[in-house]
Amino acid sequence: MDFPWQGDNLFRRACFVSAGLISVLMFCIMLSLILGAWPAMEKFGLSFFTSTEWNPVTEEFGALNALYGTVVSSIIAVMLALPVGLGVAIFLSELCPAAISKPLFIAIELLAAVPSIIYGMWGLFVFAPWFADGFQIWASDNLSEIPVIGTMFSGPPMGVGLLTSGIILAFMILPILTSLIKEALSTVPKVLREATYGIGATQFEVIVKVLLPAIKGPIFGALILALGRALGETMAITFVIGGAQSIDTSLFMPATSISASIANQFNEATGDMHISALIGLGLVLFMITFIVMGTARVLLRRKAK
Amino acid sequence: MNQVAQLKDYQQPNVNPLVKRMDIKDLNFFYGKDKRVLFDVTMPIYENHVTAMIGPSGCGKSTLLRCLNRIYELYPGQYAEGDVTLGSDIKVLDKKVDLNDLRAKIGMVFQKPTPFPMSIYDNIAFGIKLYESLSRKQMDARVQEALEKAQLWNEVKDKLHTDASGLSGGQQQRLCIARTIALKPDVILMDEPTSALDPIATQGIEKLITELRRDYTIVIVTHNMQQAARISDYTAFMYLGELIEFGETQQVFNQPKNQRTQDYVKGTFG
Amino acid sequence: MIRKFKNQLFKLLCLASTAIGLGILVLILFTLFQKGLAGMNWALFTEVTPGPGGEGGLLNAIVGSVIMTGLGILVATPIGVLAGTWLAEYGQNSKTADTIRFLNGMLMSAPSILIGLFVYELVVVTMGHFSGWAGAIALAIIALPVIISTTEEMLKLVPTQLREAGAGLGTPKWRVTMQLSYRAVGTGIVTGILLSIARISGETAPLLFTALNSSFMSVNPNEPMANLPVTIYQYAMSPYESWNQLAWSGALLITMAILFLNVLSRALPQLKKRRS
Repeated sequence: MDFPWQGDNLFRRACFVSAGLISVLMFCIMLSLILGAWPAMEKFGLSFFTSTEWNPVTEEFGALNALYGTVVSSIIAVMLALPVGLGVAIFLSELCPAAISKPLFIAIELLAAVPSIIYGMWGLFVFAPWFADGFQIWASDNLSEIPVIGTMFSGPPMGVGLLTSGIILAFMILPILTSLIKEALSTVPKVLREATYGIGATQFEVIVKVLLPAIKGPIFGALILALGRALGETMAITFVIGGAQSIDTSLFMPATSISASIANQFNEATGDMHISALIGLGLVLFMITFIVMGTARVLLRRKAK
Repeated sequence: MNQVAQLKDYQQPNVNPLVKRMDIKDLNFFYGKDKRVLFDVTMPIYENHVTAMIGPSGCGKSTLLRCLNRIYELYPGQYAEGDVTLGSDIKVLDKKVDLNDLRAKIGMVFQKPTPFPMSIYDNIAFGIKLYESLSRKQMDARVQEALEKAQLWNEVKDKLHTDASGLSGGQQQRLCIARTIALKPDVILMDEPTSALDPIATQGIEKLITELRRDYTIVIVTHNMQQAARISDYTAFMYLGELIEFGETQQVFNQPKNQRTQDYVKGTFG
Repeated sequence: MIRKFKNQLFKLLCLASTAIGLGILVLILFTLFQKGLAGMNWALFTEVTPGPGGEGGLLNAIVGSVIMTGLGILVATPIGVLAGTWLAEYGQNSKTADTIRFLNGMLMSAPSILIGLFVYELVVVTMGHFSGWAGAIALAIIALPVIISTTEEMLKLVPTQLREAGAGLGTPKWRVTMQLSYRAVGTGIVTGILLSIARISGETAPLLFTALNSSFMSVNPNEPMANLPVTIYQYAMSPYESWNQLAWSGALLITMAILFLNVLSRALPQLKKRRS
């Protein structure tokens, strides 16, 4: 109290050190992943990214299986969640009365609060059996004749697999997608809406031909952000992807993802090379999410200005 | 304009001889390197008088006020050059002067009432605690004294420990004045203190200002010419960052020396 | 006619999307109650986790989760609030602040399993064994960026007039910040902290290689520590019926706690407003 300027300096320094800690933390995370992955990188070189071999016994490791599962399940998720997210956002902000919109929106946001592991349990024990009986059997019978799609939608009706992972992920990224699109819709000036209704346009025409094109950028940003979320998701995927080190053209087949491989194998891994290879997978995931999330941030921020 | 002069029924320059409480010499102010908004302002602030600063918006009157306690230093890039003296020896713009001590000596009341998010009592005690450690009893007395001087005591004495945001706008502004008085400042700066208030609350604040003149030196910025005429002893008219005219309020309003001052006080422009 | 039909179809599809979203939430909650309620009894809260196939409760897992979440928040809150304060009050629009803001955003979106790997290498390898501390640190790293960004957002809402009024009395900046600004937006900051508690108390992945799990009652963070999410994970995947039941009951418990925290943090500003 007697030296108010000293208090000021001390406080500013404490704040700065805390803020600086974030940079240190990010640096250390990256460094520890690189160091941990080094032995595997040294041994396998670039073939780590192109090999589908994953054999703890012979200590041969390649990331392609897990990379494929991560990317494909996330892309499925985004493709499924986008139309639904658009529909929910439009319904809540343009079509339904404000009094109902608010509680409904809170309910959608609560979906984001449900822990990943709950999605995993529900996906494995409730959704997967239902999906196997209800969709996979029908698809094998009816879609298998169609070229390309037939191969994608065929195989044993096991319930778990790439497609199931994509669907569960879609549920998980739905809230973030919805709230970002809803936010973007709210930034469209009212006059634009009024002007279009003024010339006798229907709601469909106003929304699809005027509002959505006006927020193309933010929607794309939201999509990338949701993709980033899906890529790093771990527990839910670990439950429903099936945990098979293979790449199959059928989306019904079990697969693996980077996060699921790490979660499943890290504690059981005995050889140093196995651990290093798993950390190598982590490094790959870190780089992918860093790039995707960085892009999303830049896109969303540029539009916000 | 004689009509305006009649409104000032309680105005009497009340101290003789005149003492300069503050002295402003060749004051210049800059927003960043290129934007200069005050040009060589020179004027005195007389002790135990009310000095009003008037002029069209953007003329620099608020900026001038904000130089006097260096509140502008909250914002990087803003700086003042020149010479401002408080009393006989305190160089206000000198970097070596302790900013916090300075601001305790030169209090400030703002445009919008800004009660702190705490009880009425704590609002007053907050500033005192920065500089003095008092016993509970002494503090009670100081809080009461400040609230009495701000003519708020009777209205709030039964709810001292309730949240200050529950007060009306006029009461909040008087609370802010009480908070400033509690530090026993030499000078009180007021930046359009009634512009957010209704006419009745405004009247209360104006009456308070004319009474506070006995103990304090007051500088008030106002966009309301009638108000300046009613409550001030001296008036400074500013235009485009320059001090056009400074003098006794009667003279500035009734026999302005400068054509632009005349146009402004007559309402021809501004 | 076609325009009208298109319009109706479009509205129907939007409605259907909303129904899907809400339907998922309802279905998940329904499943949790349906399967979890059966195991809700006193033993759940008074007995420790049983051996394979045996009967027991989740006491050690609940206690461990509470301890690690609590420690994590205790570590993350002061650092996060101070860092958020630096961004809002000191760094503002500087290059350094923008960089830290960007890195904070990246940390917020880093997959939580990677935080687990990092803490494994940093703490578990250094200490030589799994521990509650390692789990708490991993959770703290996940909560930290959330607290930083809410604190910054909230401090940006503090009106300039309040800061000027504080400075006008000659209050040093640290006191203006701690005694006026924090107080003015305290509810918002507390909301952020509550939300990050909700977020970390359901996290499983970062605990797998840090706290591990334990079937014993322990309050010592120097040892591997039992916790709800990993217990749920292991028991759900196990072939034993009694373990599966415990997993569902634990899942119901944790989801309800998290949803409660979420609803509470939303209601907090309104509750505060009504009281004053």
